[in-house]
Amino acid sequence: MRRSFLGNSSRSKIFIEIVSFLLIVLWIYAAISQLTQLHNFHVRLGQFPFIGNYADVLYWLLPVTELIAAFLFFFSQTKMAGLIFSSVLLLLFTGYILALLYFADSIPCSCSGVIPSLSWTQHLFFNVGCFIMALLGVAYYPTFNQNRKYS
Amino acid sequence: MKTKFLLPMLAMILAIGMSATEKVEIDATQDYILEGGQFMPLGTEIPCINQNDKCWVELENGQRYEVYDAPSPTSKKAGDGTVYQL
Repeated sequence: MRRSFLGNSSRSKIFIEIVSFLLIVLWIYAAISQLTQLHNFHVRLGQFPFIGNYADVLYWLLPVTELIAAFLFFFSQTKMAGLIFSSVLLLLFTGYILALLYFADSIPCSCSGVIPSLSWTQHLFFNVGCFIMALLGVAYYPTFNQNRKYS
Repeated sequence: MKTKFLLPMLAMILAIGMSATEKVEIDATQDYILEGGQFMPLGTEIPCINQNDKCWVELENGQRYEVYDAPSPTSKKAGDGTVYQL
C-alpha cells in the first residue's frame, strides 16, 4: 500500500483534482490569450530566437496543443494522459526559456508569455512551479485512481 | 457524471473569464511614448532586451522617453536601461 505525505487516497484525490483544475485554467487561459491576439502572437513568435523560422506553424499549433492538454482533464480515462502531456509541455517551455536566457543573443519581449507582466526569469520560476505540480500529479495519480475504482 | 464535469467546467469558465478581462491589446509592430499626457505611436517596435530595467528612446529633439507596449500607463516596456535613438 502506498503511503506518502498525502497520506490516504482521499487526500491524493483532492490533490489531483486541484492540480487538474489549475492546469485546465493555465492551458485554457494561455490558449485563449494567444487565439484572441493571433496576429500579434504570430509576429512575436517570428521575432523569437531558435523558433522564429517555425512561427508559421507554431502560432496555431501552440494554442491547439494547449487546448488538447486542457480537454484531457475533462474525462477520467484521459486525466493521467493530461498530467503526463502537461508535464512534457511544461518541461519543453521551461527548457526553451532556459535556452533563451542563457544562449540567445537578444531576449525578446516577454509579453507573449502566459502572464505578459512577468519577466522571463519570473516566467521560468512560474513554469518550474507548474511542472513540479504536474509531476506530483503524475506521481500520486495511482493512489487517486485506486480510490476512484473502489468508491 | 454531472459532478465529474463540474470542476473542469468551472476551471474553463474561470480561464475564459480571466482572458476576457485581459487589458489592452498589444500591437507587436508598434510601441508608444507618453508625451504631454498623450500616447504617441513610434511607428516601430523598439528591440528592448527584457531585463529588470526600463526601456528608453531618445527622439531627434534630444528628449528621452520611456517606451510603452500599448497606449496604456500599465504597459511600460521592460528593458535593460539602453537608450535607443530614433
